[in-house]
Amino acid sequence: MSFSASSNNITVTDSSGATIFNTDTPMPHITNVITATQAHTFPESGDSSHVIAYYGSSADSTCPVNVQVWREVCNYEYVTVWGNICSWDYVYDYGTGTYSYQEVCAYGPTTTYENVCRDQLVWEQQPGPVSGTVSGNTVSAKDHAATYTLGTVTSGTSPDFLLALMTATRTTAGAQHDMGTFTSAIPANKIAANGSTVLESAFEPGGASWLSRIVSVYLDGDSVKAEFKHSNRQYVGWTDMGSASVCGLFPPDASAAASNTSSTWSIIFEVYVGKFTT
Amino acid sequence: MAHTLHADGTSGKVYIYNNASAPSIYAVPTSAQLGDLNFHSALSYLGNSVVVEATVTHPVRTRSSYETKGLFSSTTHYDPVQGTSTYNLGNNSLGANAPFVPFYGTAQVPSGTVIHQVGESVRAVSIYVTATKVKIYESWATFDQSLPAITRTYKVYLFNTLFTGSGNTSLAITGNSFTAGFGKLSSSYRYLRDSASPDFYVTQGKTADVSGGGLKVVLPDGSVQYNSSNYTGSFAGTSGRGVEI
Repeated sequence: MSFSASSNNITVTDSSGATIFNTDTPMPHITNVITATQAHTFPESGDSSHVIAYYGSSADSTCPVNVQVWREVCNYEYVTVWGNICSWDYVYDYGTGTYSYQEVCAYGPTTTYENVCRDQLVWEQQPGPVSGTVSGNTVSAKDHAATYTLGTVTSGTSPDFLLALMTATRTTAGAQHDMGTFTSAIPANKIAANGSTVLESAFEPGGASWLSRIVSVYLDGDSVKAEFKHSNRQYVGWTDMGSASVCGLFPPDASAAASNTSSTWSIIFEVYVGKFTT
Repeated sequence: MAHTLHADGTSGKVYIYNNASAPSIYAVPTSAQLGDLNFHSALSYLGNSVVVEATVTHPVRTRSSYETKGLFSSTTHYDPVQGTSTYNLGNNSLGANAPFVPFYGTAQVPSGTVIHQVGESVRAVSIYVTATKVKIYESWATFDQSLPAITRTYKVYLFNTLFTGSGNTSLAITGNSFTAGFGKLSSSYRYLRDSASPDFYVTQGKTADVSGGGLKVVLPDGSVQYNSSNYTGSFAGTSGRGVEI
């Protein structure tokens, strides 16, 4: 250890010779410790449905339709037929005065009762067309920011830095309709909140983020503030989140289930306000 | 510039300031005088810093998928899967109220940062402290891609908040130690000090911004640590101040 005071300098070293204190090297101290609890709700971004696909089927038994078709229809009925009706009779010949046994025919009707089949147009129920719509959810783009004052430092202090701890609880977790709850790596324990902290994120296929939420602890004059900031661009999900079908050729409207993008955070901040020697 | 070391024989206060003014001026420092003080026993310091460094292997996170077969083809479907894990980085001898600066790899990045991403599948982490441990919290989500195992090194600087003095020693200088201000200035501690070759940076400003759904992180050293392809803002960060311990 050494202590020296010379040439307008005061220096202290430890037993290994490392400098512990040197008046030429500014050493910060803590001017204030600010503790505050702040809740914030990131609002809904809003959403709407979009059609992923229309589909149709021309033969679905759940959608019967009446159609006229030619069918062979058979019925028992009396049938009269005109023609020669022949029989064997004794016939007297006045010329010879003799009888002969011969076939005698005469034109006339013959009626029978029989099964008669005919092709007819008949009404029948057949599987008919069904039309459907599959919808996905579109989250609207939104930007949002809210700032809260966590505390103030004595006027004239002009702090140089903040070291912040926070214990955050996500009391309501926002979600996207296809991927579930927004990714958040914030435990319910004390984490460093120096500068900004990433609260929630969501990503598109391919990797680009489409939603980001942060909280920043910063100095604004004599005030220590926390800014909750959100930004999301439009997100079009292509996962089936709604569907409807009807009998017929015209697909119906089908609303997709809405996303609940709102999240609520409650955060306990402990902010150490620091200042260097000038 | 002259410097004055003053030990008050009545109050026991010790202070070091950057001029030759009468010590009584700084007996009870005002906010306007704080910049003059190299040390004052009435002030609070960050010292006795502890460094915890550990390497963690984050395991593979396998996607969930299933196939449906059609007449001529099959289709693969994916289910989103999420989970969390915690890992010990080391012991925390300073208690749960110790402020700290975490490093992920070599970067002093914000808590909650995504450290691993494959397509839509991500892994994000935060370092946190309990009364006795320094830990890391991992949150992961997979969809169409699995996350292979990765190894990351984390470093944490924890600071003892020297708010109250201990004992009744105003100033003591021995062959082995220097103690002043009831233990607040001690040769056995490691204090934060301004440095051109810093271990890390401190800042009073924001280190990230969101816009267009994207995120941009500008560290206090001025480096852009992360910038989403779809970030549409103009955040330039806030200059920090380099310190060493």
